[in-house]
Amino acid sequence: MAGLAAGESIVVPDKMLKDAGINVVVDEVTKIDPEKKEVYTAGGKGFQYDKLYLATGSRPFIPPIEGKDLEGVVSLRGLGDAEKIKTFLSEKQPENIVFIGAGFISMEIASLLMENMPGKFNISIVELMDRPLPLMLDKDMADLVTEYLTEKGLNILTGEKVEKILGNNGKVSGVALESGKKIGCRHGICKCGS
Amino acid sequence: MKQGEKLVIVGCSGSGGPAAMLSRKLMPDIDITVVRKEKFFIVR
Repeated sequence: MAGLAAGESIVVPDKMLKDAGINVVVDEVTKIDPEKKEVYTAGGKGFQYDKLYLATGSRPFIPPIEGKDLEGVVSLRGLGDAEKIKTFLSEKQPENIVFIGAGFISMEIASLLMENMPGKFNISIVELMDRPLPLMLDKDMADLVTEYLTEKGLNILTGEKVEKILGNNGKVSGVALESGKKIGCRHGICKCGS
Repeated sequence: MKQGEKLVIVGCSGSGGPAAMLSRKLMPDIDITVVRKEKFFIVR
C-alpha cells in the first residue's frame, strides 16, 4: 500500500523451493481423490500423496451489512487487494474514505494514507467498541492512540455501529450509523473486513 | 513421514511455501510437490 516494495519483492521465489529439491507445479488442482490419495490438475496431471496439505488461503470476512456489495467497498488481505485499492484511489480520486472497524489493518492503512498524502482525504474510522484497536489495547492506551491520530486529522468514531452502507447508482455514497449519524462518502471508498 | 513418502501441498497461501521449506528441513528424505495456480507464491 505504501509503495515501498514491489509486488515481486514480497513473494517466495520458486528458486528457493526448487533449490531445496521441492517440485513446483503451476497448475490448478481440480479434484482430490482421497481413496486413491491422488490430486488431479486442470492440465491433466496427477500427483499421488501420502500426506496432503491444503494451503488454499482465506478471504476477508465482510460483515453482513446492507450495501456491502456496492462499488467502492473494499477489503484488504493480500497483494492483489492492495493493488486494487491503489488503482481505485488513483483513478477515482475519492475525497472521503470510511473504515469500518478500527482494527490493525484499518488503522495502519488510514495512518499510511494520512501520512503519505496529507490533506488529500477526509478519513473516518467507525468502531463498534469504545476504543480503536480493541483487541490489542486497553482503554487508557487506546485513548493515547486516539488523541494522537485525531490530532493528525483522523476522524475516529467509537461506540458506533454501522447500520447500512449507503449507495447511489451502485456506488458507495456514505455510511449510516445506528445512532442516526451519516458519514458522506461520495465517490469514496469504504473499507471493511479483514 | 518416512523416507520416500510423498507430501503434496496445494495452494500458495501464506503457509504453503513455508510449509514446504519446513517439511524439507524436518524430513529431508521425503518427496515434496507444491501445486498452485498462481504465478507467484504471495506472502502477505
